[in-house]
Amino acid sequence: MKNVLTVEGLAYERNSRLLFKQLTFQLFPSQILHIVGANGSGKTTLLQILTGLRTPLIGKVMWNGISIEKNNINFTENLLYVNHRLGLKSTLNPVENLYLYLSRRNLIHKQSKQKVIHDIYQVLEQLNLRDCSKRLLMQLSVGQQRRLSLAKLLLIKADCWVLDEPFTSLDNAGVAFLSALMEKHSAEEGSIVFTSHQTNYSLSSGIKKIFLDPKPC
Amino acid sequence: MLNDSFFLKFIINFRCEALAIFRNYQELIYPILFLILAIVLFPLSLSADPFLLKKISAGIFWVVVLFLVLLMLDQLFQNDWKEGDLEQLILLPNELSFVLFIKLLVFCLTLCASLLLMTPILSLCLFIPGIALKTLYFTILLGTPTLIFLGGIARALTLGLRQSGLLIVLIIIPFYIPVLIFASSAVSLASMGLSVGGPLAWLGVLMILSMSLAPVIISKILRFGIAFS
Repeated sequence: MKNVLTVEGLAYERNSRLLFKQLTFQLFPSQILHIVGANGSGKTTLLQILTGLRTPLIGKVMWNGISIEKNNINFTENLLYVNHRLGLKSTLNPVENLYLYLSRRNLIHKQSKQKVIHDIYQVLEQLNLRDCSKRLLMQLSVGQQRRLSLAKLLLIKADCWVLDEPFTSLDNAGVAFLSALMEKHSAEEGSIVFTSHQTNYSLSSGIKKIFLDPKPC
Repeated sequence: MLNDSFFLKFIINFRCEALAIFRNYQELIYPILFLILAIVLFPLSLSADPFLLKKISAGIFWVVVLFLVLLMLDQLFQNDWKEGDLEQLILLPNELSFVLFIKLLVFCLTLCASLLLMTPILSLCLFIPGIALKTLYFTILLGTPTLIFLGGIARALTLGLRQSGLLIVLIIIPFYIPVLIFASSAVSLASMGLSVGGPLAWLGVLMILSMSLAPVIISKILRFGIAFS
């Protein structure tokens, strides 16, 4: 068993409303899981449970057959979570943001410092953000910030991607770019979980889907 | 562990946190202005009698500093939480305590530096005698880290709540009392020309304890996911 995400009998309740119960699935390398649901149906909550940020009411999440609470270090090293709120500091510019994130993941060493900066600029070039590399994040548009969060996917090698609404506020070129990126990742034996409320994306490879019912308020 | 890459990481994190605070300098200026105004109000309202003020000035100064810290605690982790930076940090369990320590340290240093700049002028307003000024500096240096690091725990506990401002105050004030007692007694002892070693040593103990333990406790709180429910 290598890099398998297993979910067993998951249930979660928010404001005394049951969001889901008996949720069981397995995600093998090079599989893509699309979680579909209306606003407020618990997509983000489910992702937070999958990453271990929230603890489920019942059930467990396992990575390589060991529960993620015990297998914490190994799991989080292989995990890349792009959250809805971006996880980037609005008072830093794109380069500083990425540099800080890389250093927190222990990917910067003294000798490779120049190379890392070079890589960051290259990725920004790829994402069409080179011109904004010296501007603070809060001066960028929402779409540009969203694009910047994709830079993490390009810079960091991780087996399991968890993406919360990655397609929102991206333009057509951005959506195409991200789809290509996800297909490439899946071809390289990586697994992806992502959410969105649209049901179909032009990803050519087969996608698993989970539909969450809309909940009456 | 203490090798080059550790220091490099420390410097990168420290620099980014400091930049994040300084580019948001408005949030720092308003509390400092509050401090100045609050302290100036005392001689205006009581009376500018040096003998009276000399007796109570140490207490006044430290109570106002305590309120300043309480005002500023609300900002601590606030932006990191809103921007989702904390969520990313929680998913890096090896780094969490370390980064939290740096966040608190930067916050504390900016507060200390601005307090130290203000103190000579403010101590004139309150007639704190010149011989006690050195002790006042020491109490600020040793006392505010304790206030900030302890406050960080309360802040982490109340992160997910909407109206957290007053709740933090209620949770944390009892834990601030020792710092308040030792700091103000050190200053008033010094202004009477007595030895201040004891209270300062206690402030040091509290500082070391809180600085070393608080980041670990905060990281545990965050990892339990209290903020999400």
